[in-house]
Amino acid sequence: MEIKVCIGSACHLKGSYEVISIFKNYIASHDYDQRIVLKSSFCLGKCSDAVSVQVDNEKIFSVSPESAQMFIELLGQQVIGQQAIGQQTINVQRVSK
Amino acid sequence: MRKFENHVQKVKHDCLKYVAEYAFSGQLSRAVDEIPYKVSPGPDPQYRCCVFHERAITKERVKLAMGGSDHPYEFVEVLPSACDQCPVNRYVVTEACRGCIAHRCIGQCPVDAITIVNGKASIDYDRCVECGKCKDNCPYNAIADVMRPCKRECPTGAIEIDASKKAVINYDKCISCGACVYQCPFGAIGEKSEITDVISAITDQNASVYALLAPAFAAQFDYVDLGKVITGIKLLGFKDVVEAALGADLVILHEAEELLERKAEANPMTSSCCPGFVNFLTQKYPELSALVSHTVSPMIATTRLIKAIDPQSTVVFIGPCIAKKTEKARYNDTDFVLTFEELAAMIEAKGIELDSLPPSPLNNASPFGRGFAAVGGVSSAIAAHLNTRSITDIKIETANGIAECDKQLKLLKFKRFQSDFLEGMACKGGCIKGPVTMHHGHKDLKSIASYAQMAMEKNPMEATRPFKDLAISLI
Repeated sequence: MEIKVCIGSACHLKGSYEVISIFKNYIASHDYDQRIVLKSSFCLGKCSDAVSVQVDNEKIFSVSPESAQMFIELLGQQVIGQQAIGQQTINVQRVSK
Repeated sequence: MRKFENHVQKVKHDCLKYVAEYAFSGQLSRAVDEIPYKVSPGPDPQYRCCVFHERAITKERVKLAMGGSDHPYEFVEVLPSACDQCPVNRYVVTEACRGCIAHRCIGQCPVDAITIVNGKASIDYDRCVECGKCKDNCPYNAIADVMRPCKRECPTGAIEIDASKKAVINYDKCISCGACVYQCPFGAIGEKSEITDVISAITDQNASVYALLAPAFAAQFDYVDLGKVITGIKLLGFKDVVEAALGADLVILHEAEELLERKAEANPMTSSCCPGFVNFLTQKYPELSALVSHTVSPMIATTRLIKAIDPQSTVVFIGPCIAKKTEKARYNDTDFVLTFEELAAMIEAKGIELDSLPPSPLNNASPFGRGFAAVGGVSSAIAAHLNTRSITDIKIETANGIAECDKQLKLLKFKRFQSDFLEGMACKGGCIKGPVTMHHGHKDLKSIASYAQMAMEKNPMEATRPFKDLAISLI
């Protein structure tokens, strides 16, 4: 799985560096380095929401530093094949607001 | 509304705007023939002897805006039809000469070039050595120094005069600093543009084109909120706008380490971010080339950062500098270099009303990276960073403008340079005083200071923390 976190100006101001470090810590503490690739990205075109996070070059999620932990845990669960992400995503977005 | 500093700036802007319009509408092949008639519809001329002369000049200007000559390393060109053949002789006796009886001019002239003809001083130009003693000693200030502005401002003596009295650039001496471009009162010297290449890149729907803004941006577009300009740049078709100051933050960290290494070897080091300075050094003091920092400039560093994150991207640097075009040609990183003047022309050509747009943020770099735009910025950033590591014994010298650079380089050459680091800036005042900035005002420095203070990240370490794993080469 590849996760891209936008570091463009708008997302940076909303805490994308924090989101990245939360993701990094989670990936490192769970030894998911081989399974989750964390990358930076420039503008993903959703500047008015919270920090844009794109999963596998598809859907773009809006994740704030507050919801980042929960979001990455959900992705972690998906990686180990326990749950689908669809329904959980809605919760993440609600938390972020 | 933009207020032009002078008519030359407006003429250049109008021409670039028309070229951009033709490029956006895909009709470039007609630009050379049609634009001269748009600029000078006639029948009366606006600023030259006749409309035909004006159209001939515009034609040359359009060609330069479309890329100019094929010479890969000649970035500044004289527009022959625009050069007004300013006087070749430097000193002239003016009407103010009263034909006094002291004749200090005659007494001071070391080559007996002055005689009195019809009661007034007259200079024999076959003898005159242009020492200026007659001018300095006339009690009536009646002798004027009318040296051509291009020649006077050229720091390397690269402007020569041909048999028809037109200015010619000696490219063996030219460092592409652009001083002549800014100073010529007839707008007869210009820089080659890549505006049409950039327009074809941003109109390609499949391309990811990034605008890389030099920190001198803070002193541009003083008639509108800068956040609106960022939105405008995105509307032009750029995927994102990135601060070159972010690359400057990477440069600070790298160059500070390099400085410590050089100091340990007892060698001084010079900065490498100003291409005018680097060109000057390599041309006039080639034996000092090894002293130039091996760290790349913020432009190259930020380009590499963008391409590490988005490998398919095209990167367009937008700045106040002509010499950056030479730096771009030396490396194989940044794709195009535009000037702020060209950016303003593109925005107008596309019909973007900046005032009506919502603002977008531009905020990634630290105040130190942003400070690179003014002279002393590199020095203070490196000193501040070393300070955080409790290193305070580094001695730094700042050279403001080519004349001061020359002085410090001479000291380096003769091993009389007493400091560890030399920051060289070709333009007096730094990038904010570059030849192709939109404004040359006294407020520039204030704009940079307040822009620096708006940065969210407090220092280069914090501003660059997500890029540690990217392994970007900075040499």
